[in-house]
Amino acid sequence: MPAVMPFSAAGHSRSQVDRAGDKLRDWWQDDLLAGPADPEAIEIAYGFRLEFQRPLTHVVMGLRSFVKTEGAELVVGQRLKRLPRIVEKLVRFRRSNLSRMQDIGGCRAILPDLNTVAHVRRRIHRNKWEVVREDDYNIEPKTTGYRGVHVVVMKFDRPIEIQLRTPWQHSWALNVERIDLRHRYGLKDGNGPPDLLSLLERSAYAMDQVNKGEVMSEEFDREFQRLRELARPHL
Amino acid sequence: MATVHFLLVYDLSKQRLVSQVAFDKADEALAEYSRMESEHSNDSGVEIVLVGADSIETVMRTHGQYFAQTLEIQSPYLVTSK
Repeated sequence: MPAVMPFSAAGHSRSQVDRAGDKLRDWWQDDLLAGPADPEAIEIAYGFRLEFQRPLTHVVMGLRSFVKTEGAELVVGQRLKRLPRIVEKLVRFRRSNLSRMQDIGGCRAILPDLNTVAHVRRRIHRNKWEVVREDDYNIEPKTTGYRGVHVVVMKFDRPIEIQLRTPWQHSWALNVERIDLRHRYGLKDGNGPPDLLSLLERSAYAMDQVNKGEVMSEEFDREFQRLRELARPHL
Repeated sequence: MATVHFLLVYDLSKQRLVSQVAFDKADEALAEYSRMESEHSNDSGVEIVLVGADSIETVMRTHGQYFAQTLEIQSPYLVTSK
């Protein structure tokens, strides 16, 4: 009798991976100071994350070649999701499973303009990679103001997220990251002082408009200035 | 082009990188990433991240939030901290 193929290379089944995720979620929601997380659950999560490295490297190779073909400067980076972020996400989406998380392996390309973003996106589709998810936050920005294109492709049975951003979109996103590093609001996830969240959303909107050649009205600028003052104590 | 992996440790109270180690081998980088993370699992004062790119200069652009030097484009509509 052939053995059932385990879900992970480390020999864990999908339900074992999910159970480990559930344990880490419970640990995070209980009192963090109550003690360390279940070591076995952590080991399974680490082992699972490890398996995204090879598919991620392959996807990055492909992405780099697409960017190159478009004649754009190669600004491509990759990362494996931090374990605390993985657990936070499991907490944020109560019903999600670790084994189905789609952005454990992620990469990003900073491309010169929206046109190049569209071209690289087309190449991703033409490359016979199985696209399992696509979020065009240029057409429908996140409530935070975030813009960009996210495409999730399958490689070696693992989902890998590709983020395509223009320089100004990236600049805005790093701006948010920097404020979060300072204040730990969780702005990326839509948490934080409402005035600051509004200001950041307007900031992304204005940068988008300006990038498209629009000139912001005096009325907008006045309102932006007003929001800036309101948000100042939170910066 | 070979990918270099950088294990970054950002100190949230000092507001700066306190460690930056480069690895040519992905498996070594990953082992160290997990080891460091579990060592700090009850310490929310640092952010540990493993990022890869062709060079540190590229990482400073793709993951620029961890670096003091601001390489990204600026706009009057950006919201500056401080």
